[in-house]
Amino acid sequence: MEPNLRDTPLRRFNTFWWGLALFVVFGIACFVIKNFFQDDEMYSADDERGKERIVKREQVEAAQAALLEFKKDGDSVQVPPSALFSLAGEILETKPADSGVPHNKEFK
Amino acid sequence: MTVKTFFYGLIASFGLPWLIMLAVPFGTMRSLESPRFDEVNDESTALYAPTRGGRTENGSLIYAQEGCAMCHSQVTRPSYAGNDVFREGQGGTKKNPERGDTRRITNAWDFSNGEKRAHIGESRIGPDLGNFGNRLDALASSENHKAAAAVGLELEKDGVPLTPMQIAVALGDKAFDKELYVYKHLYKPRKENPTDKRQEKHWSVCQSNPQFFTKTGNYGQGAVDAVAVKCDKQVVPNDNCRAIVSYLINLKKDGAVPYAMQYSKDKKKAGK
Amino acid sequence: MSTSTIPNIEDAELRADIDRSLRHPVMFFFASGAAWLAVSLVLGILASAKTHSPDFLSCCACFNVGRTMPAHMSTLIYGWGAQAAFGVIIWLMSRLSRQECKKSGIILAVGHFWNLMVAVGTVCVLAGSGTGIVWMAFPKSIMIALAVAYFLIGIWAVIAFRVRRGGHIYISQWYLLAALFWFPWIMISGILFGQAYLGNGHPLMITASTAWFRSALMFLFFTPVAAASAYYIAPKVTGRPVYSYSLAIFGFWALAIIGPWAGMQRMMGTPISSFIQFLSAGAAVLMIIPAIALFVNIIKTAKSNSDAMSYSPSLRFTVAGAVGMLVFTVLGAMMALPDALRFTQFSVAQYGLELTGLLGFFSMCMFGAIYFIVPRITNREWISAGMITQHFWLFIYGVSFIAVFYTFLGGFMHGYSLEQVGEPHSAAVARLYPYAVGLTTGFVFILIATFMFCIHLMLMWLRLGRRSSHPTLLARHAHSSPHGPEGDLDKLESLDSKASTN
Repeated sequence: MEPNLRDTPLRRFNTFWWGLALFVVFGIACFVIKNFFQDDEMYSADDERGKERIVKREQVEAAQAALLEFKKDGDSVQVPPSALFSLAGEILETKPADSGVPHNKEFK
Repeated sequence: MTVKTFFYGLIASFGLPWLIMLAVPFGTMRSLESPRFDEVNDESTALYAPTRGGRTENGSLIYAQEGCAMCHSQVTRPSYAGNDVFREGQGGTKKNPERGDTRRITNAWDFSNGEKRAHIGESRIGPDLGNFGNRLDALASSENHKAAAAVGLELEKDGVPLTPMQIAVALGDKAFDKELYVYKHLYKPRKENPTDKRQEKHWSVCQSNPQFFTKTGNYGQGAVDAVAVKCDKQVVPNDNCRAIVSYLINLKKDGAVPYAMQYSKDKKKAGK
Repeated sequence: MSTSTIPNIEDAELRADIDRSLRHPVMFFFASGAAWLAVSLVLGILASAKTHSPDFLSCCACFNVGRTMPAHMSTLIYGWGAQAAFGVIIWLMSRLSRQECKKSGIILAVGHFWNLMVAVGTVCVLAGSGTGIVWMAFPKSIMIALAVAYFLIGIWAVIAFRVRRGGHIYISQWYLLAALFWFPWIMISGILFGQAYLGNGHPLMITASTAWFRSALMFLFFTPVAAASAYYIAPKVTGRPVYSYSLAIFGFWALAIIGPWAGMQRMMGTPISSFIQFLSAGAAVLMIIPAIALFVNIIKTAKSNSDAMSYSPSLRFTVAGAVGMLVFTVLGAMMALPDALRFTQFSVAQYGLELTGLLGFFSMCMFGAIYFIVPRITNREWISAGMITQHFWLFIYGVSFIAVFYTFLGGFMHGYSLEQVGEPHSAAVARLYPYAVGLTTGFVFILIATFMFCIHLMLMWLRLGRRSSHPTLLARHAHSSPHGPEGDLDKLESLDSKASTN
């Protein structure tokens, strides 16, 4: 029989590695195509509801912050709590003065 | 035909359907956008993102491993594909005390609540389980009514009928135990099912599931959730059983959907 | 006997060399495949019995339908189907490419590994650790191991094709090459989209991808392997060429173009995109086209030598397989029409259809190939024509019964009952009962036929077959045979030597 010119070790070697490469390419194709067409975030009902809650919380906080703003109401003035913090500090540093009224008990 | 053209042909003829039917829909459906209720038609602007109670993930895994999907489906098909939506109890119920007719087809958000795999099902040798939780609630409600009547409990207070929850609380120990009902069904399916009036034998062909139960010593007053006493041992459900039962009693797919997603002929806009 | 020309002797020697080189792996695949077929049928009987007699063996959870059904399908596909296919692929490709197999050792070792994986997977499923997907019930790690093992079995056939001597490429080689190409793509897609991406994809699309996987495996692996076998056996046994090569090529491309679209019709009515469901239903209907092409070609080729059908077991099984393919695709097409799908989608018809395809079409073609190949690689003839006949008729009877009674009649009756809105579910269960009993009965017939086949094959594997100048045929030749006088080879040789000394 005539020798088979197509049957060479190189051809066999090539075919093996091309076959393996094709195998791996199938897996890579699945991975790449899926990742290409997907959004980063996966749907989750809990996360969606969480986003709704965050929006609501921000609305509530904004509404509450609006109530605490600086307002003039006739003779009195409404100030945000933070404006009084320094005042509270000063009050803490003052020492109690003698009121002139005697105590009931003597502290020794 | 050369080998080269052969391979190009194969890649094209396989690659196109693979892309169109499988890879691309898989990627795009991963981040499904939640629809919103409509201010005009539904009088609400809330997001439609139904969640499900119970041990959904654990229970779903055990449901898969035990092969429940061989005999049970969990989908209500639209009318072009079947009569599912008209069957009482499958897609919802006609007689929901608060909402009336809740029967609807299943949508994609019914399946994205903790389950990793949608158990559409292989066949309906057993009944569809998509709304098993609802059917169980209805059964519990009717059993509690009967028990309340038997005990002589008042079913109204100041002219207002008591809610099912109030009746159950009032009955205390005598209230219908949903979990125990399902535990017993999983243990010996043909003993606890109500008999069909037209047939004499218990009709269920559900499998007995001894793997869900362990035997413990029979002492004291006995375990609350013991399904049987056998050879002086109590048969109690194990953790897998609790997980799958928790999953089953929370199977409900008849919640309200936005008007734009309702396909019933009798759909009504809110407020009308 | 007339003197042969030198090329014929060289050809015959090459064929003998090829057969000898492939003896161990091919016999191993066929024998272990047949054993898994028997196991699968036993599991199938258990699963079927549990649907009509649920209290049978209810002591142990491993006998429950939910476990035995996936185990049955898995062993049928990966134990019997894949291994029979591997045996046919490597032998046929080697023969058609005229290449001896130099890697028999590797193939045999990987074959053992394949069997081990299938066994471990089956135990996992029966123990309650399966995935719950019918055609992919083995755990993910087992499926990956099977995919890797496949590569180490299939690549040698591709290499044999690549280094073939130049000349005509047979239609069987195209089919085999296509099957070798499609199988890894389908497996990898199925494993990734159906199992690995759990939690990383919408639950519905994960289920849909398993539905596609199932159909793709049937149409794009089992079908081309069976077709390759049929396109080899029919002309070889009849001694005539294939009726129409161009029809065969047309049939191949019709299968290649239409086949990958089918599968998602099982998701009809579920909330995935409509176009996917309807495209698949359309493809399932159009599958009749390649089926008719194959059927016409094989039947016409077989009829060109009408004697051959009566005496050749290989041809008989192959022609039965071709008929099986037509029945399978026509039933599938009928069931995929949306008006019928409403009845059959969740009835027992789907499972019955799979059985018709796997047993009635694929298995019959594989039996035809095995009855042809085994004598050549073992150098022995089948022991008993009677056993072959019994195998054939019992198997045909069982499969036909399942196809007609269970799939068609039972499927539609069960489905009709499910569609009656006013009736409780108990009516559908009662309606199903006789058909489930029918399935168990059909399985029993098939199991008996399989036991006979297994015993026969094991005896051949142990080289206890007949040493004869004549192949084992189902009927005696009416005219003088080209094989020469019938008789035991040893006796004939001793007669010859006596004649020459006299």
